[in-house]
Amino acid sequence: MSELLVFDNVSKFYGEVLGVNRVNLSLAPGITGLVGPNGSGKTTLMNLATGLIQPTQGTVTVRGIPTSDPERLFRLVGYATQFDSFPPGLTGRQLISRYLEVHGYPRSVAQELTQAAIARVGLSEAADRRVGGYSKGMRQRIKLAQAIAHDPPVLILDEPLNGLDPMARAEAIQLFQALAEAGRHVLLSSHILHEVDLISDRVVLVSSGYIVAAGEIEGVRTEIHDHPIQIYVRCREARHLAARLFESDHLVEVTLHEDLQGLNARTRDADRFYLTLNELAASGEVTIEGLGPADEDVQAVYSYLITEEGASS
Amino acid sequence: MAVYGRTYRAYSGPLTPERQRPWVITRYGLAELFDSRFFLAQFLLCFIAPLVASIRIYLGHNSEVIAIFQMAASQVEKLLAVDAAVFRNWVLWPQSVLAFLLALSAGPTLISPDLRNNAMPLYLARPLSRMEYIAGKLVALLIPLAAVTLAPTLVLYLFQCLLAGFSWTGQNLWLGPALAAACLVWILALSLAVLAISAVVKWRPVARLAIFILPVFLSGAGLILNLVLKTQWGSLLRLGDVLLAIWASLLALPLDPGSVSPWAAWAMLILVSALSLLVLRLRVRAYEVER
Amino acid sequence: MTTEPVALLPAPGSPALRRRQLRAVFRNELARSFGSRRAILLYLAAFAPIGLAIVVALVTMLEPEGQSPATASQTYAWIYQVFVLRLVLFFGNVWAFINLFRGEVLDRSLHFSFLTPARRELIVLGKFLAGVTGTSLLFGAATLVSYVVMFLPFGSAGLVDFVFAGPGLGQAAAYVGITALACVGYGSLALLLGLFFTNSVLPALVLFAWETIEFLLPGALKRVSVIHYLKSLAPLPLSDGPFAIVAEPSPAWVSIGGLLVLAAVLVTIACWRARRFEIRYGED
Repeated sequence: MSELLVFDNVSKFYGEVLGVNRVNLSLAPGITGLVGPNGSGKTTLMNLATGLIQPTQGTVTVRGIPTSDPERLFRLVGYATQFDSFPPGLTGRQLISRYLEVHGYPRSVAQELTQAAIARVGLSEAADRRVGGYSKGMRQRIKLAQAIAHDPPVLILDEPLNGLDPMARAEAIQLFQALAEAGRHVLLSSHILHEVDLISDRVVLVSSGYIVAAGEIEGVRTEIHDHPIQIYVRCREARHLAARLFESDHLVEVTLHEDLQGLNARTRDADRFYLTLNELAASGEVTIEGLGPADEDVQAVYSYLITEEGASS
Repeated sequence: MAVYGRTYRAYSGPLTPERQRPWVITRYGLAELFDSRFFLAQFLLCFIAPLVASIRIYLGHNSEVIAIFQMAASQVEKLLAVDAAVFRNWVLWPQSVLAFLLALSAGPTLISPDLRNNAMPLYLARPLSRMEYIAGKLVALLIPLAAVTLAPTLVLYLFQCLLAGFSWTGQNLWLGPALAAACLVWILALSLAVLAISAVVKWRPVARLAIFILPVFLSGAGLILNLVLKTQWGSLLRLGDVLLAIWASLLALPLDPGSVSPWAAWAMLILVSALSLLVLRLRVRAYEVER
Repeated sequence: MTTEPVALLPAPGSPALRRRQLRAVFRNELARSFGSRRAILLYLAAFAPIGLAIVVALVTMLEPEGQSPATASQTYAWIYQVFVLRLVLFFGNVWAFINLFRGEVLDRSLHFSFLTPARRELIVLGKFLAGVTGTSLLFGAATLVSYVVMFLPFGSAGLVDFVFAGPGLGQAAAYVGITALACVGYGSLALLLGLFFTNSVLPALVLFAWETIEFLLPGALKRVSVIHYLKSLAPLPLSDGPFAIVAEPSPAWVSIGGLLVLAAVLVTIACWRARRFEIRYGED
């Protein structure tokens, strides 16, 4: 079988602005997470993969089919875009069935497929309401339903978990996993690494239009494990706490807050850091008012993975 | 939560007085308008016609130029005399057309983007009423329109007073306020209508098209009614004819043959303005019902 | 459903599939462009000549002296050529056909069409046919109704006489035909504007200016306007006024054939453009 999705030396420029640059990528079946901060080029890659935009240079194929051949391409591909907009005045059911008819399905079949897709994303009750009145989560689900309605073997989903409440998020993740188990290939994007970590078999990290890393999720996880994380602590005895923390060898850096009522600490070993903090609190040396991770987002991981400083540390 | 304690500080500085808040809308509206190079160029081009008119007024008072004509002094005087009709033909009319074109560019950028981007709840969640929002936007449009109509008209009037001396000024003292009223009537009605269309049509280019089409359409219908029915009432649909009739009443000029009566023209303009205000009241609100 | 959905589709590229897809695009577009709130302006524009005809008919009823079906026919020629042809049909079609693509870009919903397994040429064709059908039916009906309204003051006998024994039927058919041709001509031009220009309003206004000054243009340039061919088909020719440059009207076969060929060329260019069209919804 041909590779699922192949980017061959693909560049895309919007005038003088770089979208993506010299992307060579070959995605195998399974669930692949496309991860990157906002504006990194994830949506550009997905739009290139579905022919909504054309590359300035290079070629994109899905199972050997060029994106300039929609007749064959969109039998294989379902795409839930990031555009949060819909044709005005349509109900959820009309939105899906009308475009299924453009696929070429007879009306009765289109309606049957629509009903199945809507039920699958849990929108049956709202199916006959206008999409314009849907909540953000419902709009996300109707986009998902539109992408899966013709049961395509390849699904491309741009930030599909955005705006979903925790319950809907869990259901959506279950749905992706079920689709993958049924042999579907899913490419989904997110800027939250943790989310992708939960679902994906492999990840592609994108930053500033370049592919930074691609591979099995475990490899990235290891990289992240080595990355010093930053934790904030609010306490009155911030100076004393800083002094005590410096006694441990896992600490990289401490910055006191401006009001001297707290600090940010960078550590190579979060477990040992929290243990030390527990001991200090239990002994009554410091009174902790609040603490938490200060940079547990993908941006921080990126700056670690892609900067020279990060690479060398 | 500690994180809020660390980063959030409630604003404790002075607040803009309540009455001045609509001007914030005006200030930003104006800034947005003049950010556009196209608008700025258009705005500057609007001052070419008054420059020409100022030359026309100057010539009327320059004896050397008058001598060039080699005509009887009374004839030359008549030719170059400056009166209300000259102000209407050389200043009011061209500036009003240019003001319409300026409103065509500026009007749709004021309300329709706020409606399109669902910004209305953000505005109206502040201590700002709907009418204050409308007033703020209205003034943002009125200021450039007044700058290209009212300001040059009054400057040229003062220029003429300066050159013509006390006698002409004494006889035409009424003309200054009349010219100001003629400009204000037009730009106020125009601004209200343009804002109303901008509030109905959410898309800027479409709103622009609608602002252009509407007078053209009505003008065509009016022309047909006049031609076919051998009447003058069709002129009530023709913006230019309505304006000329109103100016004739303000500037004490004779009505063109076949013109509508000034009272009917005034009634039409007031009706359009009232309708525009009603539309603005209905459309500018913090929510939208999806049916 | 036990079978794979894709198994229910005809083979890619087969005429059967393309017919189905064309029908679906056509139906969807008809519903979108003529059944939505945005279409209200189109309906208002279509009602304008009827409203004008009603006013004229009422005045004729109040002052019937000197009025006859022949004068009503002459009056309608004025209404049709000055108001319907130059304003209603031009702006109505510009509105409807620019909306086919630019409207969807403004609504940010064009990607739904482009994510279906249909060739973009087929989407362009389906949309264009829907536009032509919708506007022709709407403005054709408005033309017919306004024409009939003009003769109502003369009673049913007068109307029947003029229509069936006189030139009425031929004139009505000619006006409806010109209306349909105007929809094809202006429609194909506006379709192209909507695909090529982000802000299609300015080129539409330039086009309007060109069509408006057509009567001042020399003969060769007149032939580069749509209105010249439409006027050539009018059953009652009108004077363009003292400043007009008079030119021979084109024969009917040239006017009809020319406009149809023009539309075919423009739709072909539109198809070419659609294939390269990128979905990048920016600021409106």
